[in-house]
Formats: sequence, structure tokens, C-alpha cells
Amino acid sequence: MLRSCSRRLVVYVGLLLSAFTLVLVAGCKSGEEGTTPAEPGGMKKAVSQAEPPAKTTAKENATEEGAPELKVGTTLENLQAAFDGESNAHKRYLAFAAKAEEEGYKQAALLFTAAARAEEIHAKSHAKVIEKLGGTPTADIKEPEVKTTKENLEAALKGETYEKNTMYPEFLKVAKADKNADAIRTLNGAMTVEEEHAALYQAALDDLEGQKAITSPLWVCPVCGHTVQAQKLDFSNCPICNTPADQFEKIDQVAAAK
Amino acid sequence: MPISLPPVPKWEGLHPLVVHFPIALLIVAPLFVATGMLLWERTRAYAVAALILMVLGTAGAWVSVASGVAAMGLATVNAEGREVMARHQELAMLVRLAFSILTALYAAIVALPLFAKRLTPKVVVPVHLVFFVLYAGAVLVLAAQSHLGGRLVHEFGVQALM
Repeated sequence: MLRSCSRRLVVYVGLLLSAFTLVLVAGCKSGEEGTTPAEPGGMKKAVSQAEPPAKTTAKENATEEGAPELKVGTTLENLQAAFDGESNAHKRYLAFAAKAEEEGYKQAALLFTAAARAEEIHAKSHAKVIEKLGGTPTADIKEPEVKTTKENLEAALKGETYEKNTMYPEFLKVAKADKNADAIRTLNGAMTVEEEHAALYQAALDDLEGQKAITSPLWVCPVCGHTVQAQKLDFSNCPICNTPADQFEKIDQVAAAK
Repeated sequence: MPISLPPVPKWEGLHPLVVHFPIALLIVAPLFVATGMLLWERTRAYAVAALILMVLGTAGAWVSVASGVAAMGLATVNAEGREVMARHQELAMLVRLAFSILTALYAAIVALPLFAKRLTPKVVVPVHLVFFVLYAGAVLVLAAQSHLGGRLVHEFGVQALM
């Protein structure tokens, strides 16, 4: 009698748990569907309640004086734009490094070399996400306009400031509304590193004469491009992407412009 | 407004959902350890319950660290916030290691009667006291790293991918 009762109890509890699990799964699915409809190509329309409405159609924005006009589109379009920007920055910084070396600004040459490597890493990272979204990374590589090292540092500072203050924050809004973790990670990493580059360029401009002698190597994270100017790294893992510090690339020689 | 359950979180968004469990479990566990010590000669149930809490809490700590590492690349913070995040991560890894060792140690204490049949309070109490001292140290690190996590959310506005 007792055994039969306990068997029944087990069956009832089992049924109850199964029903509860089904309701839970169904509820979660309906919750997911209730967020945003998916666009073709796995992308979702940008709709966010916490942030201003994201721009899903290409739209030109007014930006800071002299800064390039920003077109904010879908996450894929934004990543393409970022890929193009990073690819051009890579080439431009290599040319700036060669010019700085030629003018005797050895430390600035190292800085441009490290920044060029970081931009290359960003471009590759963006490219991976573009491919994941079904696109093909394409960049219109322009011949860089090389001036004096002081002017090059100013131009680089301006470019990085535009990227960290305007371009990446706008692109991130769309990626966050899309809830695209890969896009958020690559855009966020690039934005953080551009902020570091801007600070390094500003420091170099503030002490231009000090750039003539090499005072310190630079280190670049091979995953996110985190750029550090120091004799030794004082952390065990990259503070942006957690890559072990022993995998950082040491930049102590000027790379040749391609 | 229709009621709907939240969507199933992505791995990168799991961190805020899991971090509170290990904190609660690992802070409650010593109460059961203490009760287990006091009732050591009468029942081993409390000691086993404490061990279960510690195992679950430590497992939660491993999941929390892993999901936190996945989430860190998505957090938009300033330089100060990044420093806090790095410290938070460093302490979280220390917490994970400390509670892994403490759980193994307590499992050994719970298993002691299998090897020494007659354990008097003269042995049981000092062993537990040493354990409590070590555990208190680990709880302090846990509290410090939890506070840093709270700062990231409430001071630096870090939000998870929901």
C-alpha cells in the first residue's frame, strides 16, 4: 500500500515538474520573441527602450567641426565602416612611423608602429564579426597624407578622438540594441583602445622633443589591441579582454611601411 | 500588459544572474559548519549540509568567474572603471581558488570519521576553529570582490547583455 502510494507520488511530482519545465521554456521563448523581430542575415532591428532609438537605416549625422561625417547604419554596415577606418589607420600610422623615424622622433615612431599594429588587430577583429554576419569585409585603402611628425600626431589625435567620442559610441548603440555580443565586444574593445591611443598621442605632442630618444617600448594585446607604453607590464591579464600579459607583443622596433 | 518570462540569457549576459548564488551559499555555509561541529557526536547531517552548500557555492564561483570573463569585453567603462574591473577579476579568481581549497579541506574533515572512528571534541573543535579562521579570511576577500562588482554596476554603470 505504502509502496504504491509513494510510486504514485513520484509519478505526480514528475508530471508536475515536466509541466513546469514546459511552461518555463515556452514562457522564455515568448519572452525572446517579444523583444525584436529578426532581420534577414541574422540581424535584428535596433529597438531599445533604455537608449535613444537606434538608427537602422543609413543616416548622416552632423559631427564635430572638421571631423568626417558619420553614417550610422545597421550593425553590419557600421562594422564595414569601422573595418575600413581601421584598415586605413593601419596604413596611415605605418607611413607616419616611417616619417617620424626619418625626422628623428624615435619614440613617436614606436608609438605609431604600435598603434598601426593595434589598428590591424581591430580590423581583423571587425572582419571576423562581419564574416559571422554573412558579409565580406571590404576597405577602400587610400594613400595616406604624410606631413611633419607634429602634424601627423595632431592628425592621429584628431582621428582617434573622433572614433572614441563619436563613431564607436554611435555604432555601439546599434550593436547593443541588436544584442549582438560579438559586435559589441569588437566595437567596445576598439573604442577603449582608441581612447588610449588618443592619450598617448596627446602625451607625445606635449613632449615632442622628448620623442627624439627611445624612453620605453610599447606593448600591444594581440586580441584587442590594448596599447601600453611601459618598460614592463604590471598586470597578469589584459584589462580589456583578459588575454594573458605574456602574450602581448613588444614593440621596440619601427615597422616598415607597406 | 501580458506577463512574459524573461528570455533565456546569453552566456555573456549570465554573470549578474549567477554571481549572487555563490555569495549567499558560501556565507551561509559556516552556520551549518558551526552547527555540525556542535552536534558532531549526535548527527553528521549538518556537516553534510554545509559541505553541499560549499560545493554548490564553489561551483557557482567557477561559473561566475567564467561568465564574468565573457562579459568583461562587453563592458563600456572609463580607465578608473577598468582598474576596478581588473581588481574585481583578480580577487574573484582568488576567491575561486580559496573556496575550492576550503571545500576540499572540509570534505576531508567530514570524511575523518571514516578513518578515525572515535573523534573526541578535543580533536574536532580545534580542527574546526582552524577551518573557521581560514574561512573568515576567504569571506573577507569574497566581500571585497563582491563590493567591487557592486561598484562596477552602481558607480560605473556597467550593464550586462540582457
